[in-house]
Amino acid sequence: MIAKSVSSLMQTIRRFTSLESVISISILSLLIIVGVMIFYQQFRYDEKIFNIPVMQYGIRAIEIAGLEPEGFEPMSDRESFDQATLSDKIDGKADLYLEAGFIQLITGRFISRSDPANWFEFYLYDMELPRNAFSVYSMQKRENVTDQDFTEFAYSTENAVFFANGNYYVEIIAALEDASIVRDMISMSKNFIARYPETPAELPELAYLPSENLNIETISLILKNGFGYKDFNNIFTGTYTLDGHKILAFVSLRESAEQAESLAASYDNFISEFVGPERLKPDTDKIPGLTVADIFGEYEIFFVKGDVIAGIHSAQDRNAGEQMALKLYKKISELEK
Amino acid sequence: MNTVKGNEDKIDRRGFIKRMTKAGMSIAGACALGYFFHDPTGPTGISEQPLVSVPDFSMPQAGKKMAIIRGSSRTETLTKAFEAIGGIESFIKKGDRVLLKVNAAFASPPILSATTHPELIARCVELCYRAGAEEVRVTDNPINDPATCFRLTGIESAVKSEGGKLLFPKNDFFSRTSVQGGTLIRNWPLLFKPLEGITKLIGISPIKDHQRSGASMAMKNWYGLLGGQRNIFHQDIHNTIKELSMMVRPTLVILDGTTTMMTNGPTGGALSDLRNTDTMIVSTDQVAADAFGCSMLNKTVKDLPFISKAAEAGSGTTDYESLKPVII
Repeated sequence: MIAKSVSSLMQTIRRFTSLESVISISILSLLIIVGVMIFYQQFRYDEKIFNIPVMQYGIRAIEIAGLEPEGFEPMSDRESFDQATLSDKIDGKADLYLEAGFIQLITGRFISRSDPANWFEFYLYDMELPRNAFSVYSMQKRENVTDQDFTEFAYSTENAVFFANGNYYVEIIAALEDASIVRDMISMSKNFIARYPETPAELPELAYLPSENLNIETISLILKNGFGYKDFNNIFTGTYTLDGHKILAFVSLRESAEQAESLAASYDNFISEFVGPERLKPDTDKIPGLTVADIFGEYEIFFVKGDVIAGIHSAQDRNAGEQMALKLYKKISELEK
Repeated sequence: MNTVKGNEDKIDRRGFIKRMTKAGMSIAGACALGYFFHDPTGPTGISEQPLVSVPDFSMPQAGKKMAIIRGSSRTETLTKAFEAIGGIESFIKKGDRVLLKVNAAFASPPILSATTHPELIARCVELCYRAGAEEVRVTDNPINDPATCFRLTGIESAVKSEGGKLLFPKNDFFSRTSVQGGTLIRNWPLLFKPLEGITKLIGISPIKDHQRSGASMAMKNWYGLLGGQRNIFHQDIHNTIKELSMMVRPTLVILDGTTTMMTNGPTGGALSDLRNTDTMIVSTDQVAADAFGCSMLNKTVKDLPFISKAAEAGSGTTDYESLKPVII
């Protein structure tokens, strides 16, 4: 029985051809190549496996060496961080940038040649678009600052300088509270702007915010998830002081009047999820289609004018909120003409 | 089946055995190669090392204590706080080996209050030695380069000035841990080596605003004991902090509200992000410390879900007044 099986197998082997050998060698070679590729690839970290968004943009080559003010020299190597590594530098603050179009961060420390305690760190955030850069600038703007005029959006504090310039948002932070180092950091800011001149951010929506009673430092651009609503994006906000009340006004320019109406309707539905569909009758009849919603004692007041949706968010005082909404409406109407 | 001319030679038994041997060796070789390439841990890199856990360093016998001391001098308020809870000797005994887990997350200067203030650390090291500690270690796993962080924050010189032992995190300092009853911190690298052999653990952290969690205080400070790609925990930060509180049972926590980072945390950057709140909190209960500490940020327990979650997990109480804090 065994002898018969062996004989049969031997007959099969006799059918081996040189062609089959060639095919076998080819397959084995292919398997070896695949094996080598797997071996090589396993040493390479692939961000896609972990669902971290991989940068799709061309990273601009930016050099910060040589920008330092007179009397300073580099204290550390230049470092750069991308979307996957940003949190290695700024930890929990990374999301603020990542949600606003962040591409890369470049940092470097510079130290005074005469005083080793006198150093500062330069943070350059490439935000891809001027609007994105303005957004992160505005979202973090401090109170009681000194406005600077070396670029459109810039200010300094006792120990730091902050500005948005085109696609870039820059922070320069000193280790000391000292007026002279602030001057040095402003000098470096000017050097940077001279080396990398940028197109200023176009922010036509700012014109919709009436200037009277506006606390100018509070202007912010919310790029996503405004007021907790996922479809509310590209919203400019500013805080007004009216009759002793702090009032947060907002405007958002949409692509068309239809889109503005649609967004207003969906925002109204969003509010209904919390407080139901009932709305208050507005005290003013000068704003067509004005919505006034009582949200647990605070008032959400909004309207659509052309392709703009605007209003007041979380007003503590309804009367002051409606007054401010009317001022906003008038301003938008003026600009529409 | 067609055959190719010239390949019809008879095969004898010897030839057959040779060919079978070659075929067998080929199969064995392929298997060996497969075994060589086989990754038993998979893409997540799961280690087969035994898991470690942080020992319980709490001292129930010392009772639940809390002190809230007002003042602008950290060295004075810390000293008074220890006195108010019965003296540091109630917690640190002769021969103790103490670990101070500080917040050295960023390579930023002390004036930004983004990290534990070096004066506070120096004073704490000094007081521990004075109470009889045999060794005082200081550690953290910073976000930025450790050597730069410890140097620029002033922590390195503060620790050395008082004879403390600064432990920079190294690769072999990490072992894997899973939080018992946790769902997030599972099989995760823990900065364990500095914890080995110690008898007391004290957390020292500043009070800061935090973009993601709303606040960074005593419980969030344990985040610095984690290794790996820990930023993924920011996706569920409140439950992560809860699990950190379950993972670590400290002897004491010191929450520094002398200067509070009110905005733009956790990094800050401008002095205008800070406010002098002139308060030092020392507590045996980390949840109670945070429950009071949030008031420095003008927040309440309701604003910071991780505090209630930690309390529900049994890490402490949100009712800090139940500890009858000594307020000076």
